[in-house]
Amino acid sequence: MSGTSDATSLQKELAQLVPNLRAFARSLCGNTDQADDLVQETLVKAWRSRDSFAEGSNLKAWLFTILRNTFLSERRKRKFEVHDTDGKLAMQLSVKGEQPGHMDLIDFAKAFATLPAEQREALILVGAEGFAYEDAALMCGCAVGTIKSRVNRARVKLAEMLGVNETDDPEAEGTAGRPTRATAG
Amino acid sequence: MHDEGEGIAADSSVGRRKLMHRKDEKDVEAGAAKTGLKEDSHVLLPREAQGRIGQHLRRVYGEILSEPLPDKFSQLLDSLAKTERSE
Repeated sequence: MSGTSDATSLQKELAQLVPNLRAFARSLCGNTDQADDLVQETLVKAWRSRDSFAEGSNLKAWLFTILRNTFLSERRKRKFEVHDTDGKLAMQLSVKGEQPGHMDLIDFAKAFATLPAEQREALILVGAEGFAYEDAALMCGCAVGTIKSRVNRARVKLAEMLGVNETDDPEAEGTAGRPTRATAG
Repeated sequence: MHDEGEGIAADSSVGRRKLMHRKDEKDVEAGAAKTGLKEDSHVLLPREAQGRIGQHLRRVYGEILSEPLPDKFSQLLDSLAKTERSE
């Protein structure tokens, strides 16, 4: 990938994915400033190694992998003083008060925050970003079964904490005003 | 599927360190996953509950996605592209 027009189109594609990179970074490291630093570092690395990106493959997966690897390596160098709890604040803070059902979302964010880091990551990749299990496994450098198991454990734990798996509870069955059916999969 | 492995390998020097670092955990989990999807699956959620969890997750995540972007990102991309042109 070289030449001015390719560079311009890559620049556009990168710009479009910045929100996703920020959201993913924040679910990894929690602190907004650190997350933004991480995104900037990712953009620089991606730009410099753009020749190694296979055209036609998944740019977002490639970028997420770079971001994730950068995060882990920075953390090891203790540049980021990150504890397991640090993914937690971001999602809570991002829930705005005005929207309908926001109490549900705040509860959800709090519950999400208590999950182990690798479960949060797996759930974000598969559940929020919609990556295939296989892609998430590649990105995390682990077996597909490991990702499936992390996602499942995360869901079970969340359901337990939020009481949504108690199907005998009429509240959990599908209360009006609270959309219950998603593109379940 | 096809090309993704190759693309992802770009940052592989970092990736290898990560893999080594995470080996123990990975082995344990991979082992558990092989035999143990069953173990997990006995607590598989009903679709209804899965759907609701997914929906909450996407709404919270969507909040972050829709935050206004600071200029620094487009500025960074501009300056990277400029460097390219002057090379």
